[in-house]
Amino acid sequence: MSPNRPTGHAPPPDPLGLDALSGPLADTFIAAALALAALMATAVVLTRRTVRQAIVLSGYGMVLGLLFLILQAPDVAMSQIGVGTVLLPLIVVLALHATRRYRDTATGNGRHDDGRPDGADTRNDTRADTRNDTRGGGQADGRGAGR
Amino acid sequence: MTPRARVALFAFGAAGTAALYTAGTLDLPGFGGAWHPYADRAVRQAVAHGTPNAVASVTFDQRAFDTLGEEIILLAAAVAAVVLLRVLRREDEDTDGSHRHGPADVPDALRLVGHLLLPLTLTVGVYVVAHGHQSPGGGFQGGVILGTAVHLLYLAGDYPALRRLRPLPVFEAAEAVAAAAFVVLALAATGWAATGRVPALNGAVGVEVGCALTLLLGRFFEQALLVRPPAPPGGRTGRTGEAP
Repeated sequence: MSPNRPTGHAPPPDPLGLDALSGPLADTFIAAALALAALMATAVVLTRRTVRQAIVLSGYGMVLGLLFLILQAPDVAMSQIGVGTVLLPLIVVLALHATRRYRDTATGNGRHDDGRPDGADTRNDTRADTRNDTRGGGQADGRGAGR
Repeated sequence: MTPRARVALFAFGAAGTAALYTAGTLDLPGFGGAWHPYADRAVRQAVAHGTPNAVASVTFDQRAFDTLGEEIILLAAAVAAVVLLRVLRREDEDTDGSHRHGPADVPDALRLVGHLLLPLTLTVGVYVVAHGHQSPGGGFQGGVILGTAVHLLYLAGDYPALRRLRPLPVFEAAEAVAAAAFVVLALAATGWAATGRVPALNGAVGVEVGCALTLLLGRFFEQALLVRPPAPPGGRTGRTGEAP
């Protein structure tokens, strides 16, 4: 019934991982990771520009992955790092870029229609960002998404 | 619906969620304690079935129906993205020649790193899928790595190469086939331990997740880079002097 190789799981009274998760050092790590996660979450909320917020969100995903790793859930940590650090911010950035392009071309005052190559998208993003700030004042950045 | 009714509805839902959540967490074992009733049972079952990776045993054996549901959810999400983000008839999809997507002028270091990391990351993804039954990781984690790895080409500034690397129709078909394979594999031996099937299940999940994420990101890329809104009557569009 049980395989003949050691599985690494001791019988129930002393499951693996209890020792690694207790003690002052482990407590310090867990507390630090939790504090870092809270800090990054606050930073995400307090970041007002959406493009920048996506980048901070990526950092938050990384910190969450670190927390899961410290809490000894490597599977969850891998999923979190993949989805929260790469996929979600990338989708947010792409969606923002699409809405911005739509707004620029729809209103006709965009700078990068007219067949201008928009290969360097990061530059476009930052440029659109600053333009928004000078023009719109304090208006929320992602408002174009609603239209 | 008036704003007032909306707020009331939200307050009702939020209060219910908060109450249920609190009720659900009251009986949980304390954080960091020595008492893990569920883990003890799950690990005992995994060892009894001879599954080396207890997490794989939970996802594919003890919670197989949950995993099946998650797969279907992912499939539905990918299909929804494909349907919602399709190129509408009134929108023009720019032809490739009308504007240049690259190779963009990214720094050489970024280009080099992107091209170097691409094979490495793909290898890591395949490894995580293939060894999911023995080590941390598995189909979903590896699939996420695979699905995002190909977009290193975009970071490297080579969007045309990325388009060539992932023909979207092929990925649509592969995703459907992989999802069907997973369902068949999961349902074929209901009630039996999944020990021997874990690598195959991981493979199916890996292909499905990788294809789904690539499709999703591909559609978003198309929207962000290629699709133009319908041209205003005055005619300032992206196509200058193009007669397709």
